[in-house]
Amino acid sequence: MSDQDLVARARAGDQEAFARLAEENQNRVYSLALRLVGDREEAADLAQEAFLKAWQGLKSFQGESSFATWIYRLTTNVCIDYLRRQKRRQGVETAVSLDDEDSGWAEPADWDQDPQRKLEQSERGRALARAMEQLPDHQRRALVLREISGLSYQEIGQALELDLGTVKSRIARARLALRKILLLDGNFSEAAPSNPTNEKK
Amino acid sequence: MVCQRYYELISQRLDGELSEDEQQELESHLAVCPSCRALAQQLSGLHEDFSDLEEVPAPEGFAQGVMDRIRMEETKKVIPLFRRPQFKAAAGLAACLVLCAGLYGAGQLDLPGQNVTAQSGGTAAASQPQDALPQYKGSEETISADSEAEPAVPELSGYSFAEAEEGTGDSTTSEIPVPRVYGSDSPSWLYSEAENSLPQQPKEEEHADRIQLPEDVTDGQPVQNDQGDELPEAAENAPGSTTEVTGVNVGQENEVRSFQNEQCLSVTYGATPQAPSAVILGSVQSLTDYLAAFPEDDLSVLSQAYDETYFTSGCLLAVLVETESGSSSVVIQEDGLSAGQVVLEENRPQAGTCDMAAWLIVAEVGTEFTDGEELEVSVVTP
Repeated sequence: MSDQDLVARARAGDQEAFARLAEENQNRVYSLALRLVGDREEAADLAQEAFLKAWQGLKSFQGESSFATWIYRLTTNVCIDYLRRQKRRQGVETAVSLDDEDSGWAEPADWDQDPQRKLEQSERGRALARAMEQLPDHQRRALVLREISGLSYQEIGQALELDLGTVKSRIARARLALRKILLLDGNFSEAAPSNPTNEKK
Repeated sequence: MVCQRYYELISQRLDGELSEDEQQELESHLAVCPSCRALAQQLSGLHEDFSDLEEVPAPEGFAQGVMDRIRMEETKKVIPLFRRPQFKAAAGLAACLVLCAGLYGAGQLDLPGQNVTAQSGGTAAASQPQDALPQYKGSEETISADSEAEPAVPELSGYSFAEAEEGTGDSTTSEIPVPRVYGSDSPSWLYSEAENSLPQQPKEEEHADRIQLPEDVTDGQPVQNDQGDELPEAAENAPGSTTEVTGVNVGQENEVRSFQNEQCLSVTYGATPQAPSAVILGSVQSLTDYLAAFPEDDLSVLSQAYDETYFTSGCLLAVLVETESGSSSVVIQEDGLSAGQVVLEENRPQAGTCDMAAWLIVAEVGTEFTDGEELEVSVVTP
């Protein structure tokens, strides 16, 4: 049964159908929440909250996007709300952001040594996931909102209460930091400059 | 390092966030800087890899937890009502009302209006299988008899009904019809939800309660009160509770509802034959449809501000009015929003222009309203 059918059934009150939707999307939703908030327990709670909101909001879900996209959006919003609440509790963002802006750029070095692409997609995905875990929270958060949630710089600025310049530099720094981590782990072969798929970029 | 400036631009380019000038600047730099070219390729590969980013498996029992929470939300507004002190207070209050009504009825034995009402409610109930509560049927007969001692009976049965249900609430959650006594328009303090929500806050639960009311609650029987709300089965079960329900509902008509982020937008006068009007918009589709009636006006501020996500937890109130002067300002009166009605306040300057104007006033309201619901509009000029 397609997601569309499941959504239609769930909207009619079929909890079984919604349970299927939850099962099918649970990993992506949980992963997104985890990468945004960085805490497993909170992430699980927030991800469940997103599904609950989806259930309650099914009526207003017009199907302009896929259910997966919609639940992503809900999850992003739930997590942003959480992060904001947390920020209020902790007061203004502290030294972390200063560190970010003052610590200088990660040195882009060694790109001549990149061996040719040899890892399978899944391995690259796994390596990237591991590298993401090593990113500082504030960098990972901004990059996740961009790369996974698909928010624009402006939306990210609003979500994280940052000015546009900070968003730009934070995302750039996050990418350079990721690249550095992958290089150190010997996992950056996939981005070898010699790769033809990248050549045209 | 002279290249540092370009790292950011390289990153921005991946996100399509470069201005034309920046784009050109970057292109010219990349043309002469092989190391930045290489970096750009690497970051581009990294960017693409996000589509293969490995997911972290959700913890064991995650989806089950989702469904448990959904069921909890669905039932929590049904069962726990009985356990709440507010409910008991309300039951007591209702009992008093019934007693008063009963006394009043007893004083007018020639015109026993209350008794007739109670009896017709009871008759409706009798035509439905109600095997669980035979004792109420018994008291129904009592109430229809014109005994002088009788006014106390509905009070007692009404109250003991609530108490009796309390004991069995746990095991028969879905079957207990009683909370619907208070319908979806109950004062919000009746729903002392676990989240300690403040009264007057928009409450999703109330909305959910309404939309999930089974179609067959009334089983096609004419048990509706004057507001069109479905009358509770309690009214059918417990004689005299018709009075009780009416009593509880009396205060609701004027129940003030909250709104926020009110915006007043000027729209083309003359293209608004539907003014004055007020309608609840509960989905993106409704908003889009509504705005389509204003082809002359740029109302994109609304369509941009309110997306699907907003409508999962709120509705919009859209009020359209015309004023005799474009210098007037029109706002929703403080406490001017209630179920079924919205009161606007027009502040007309003493020396205003005499051009006619039309205004679209939009405010955020809670999901206790339903999509498409129309409200009565009245305008006062202080």
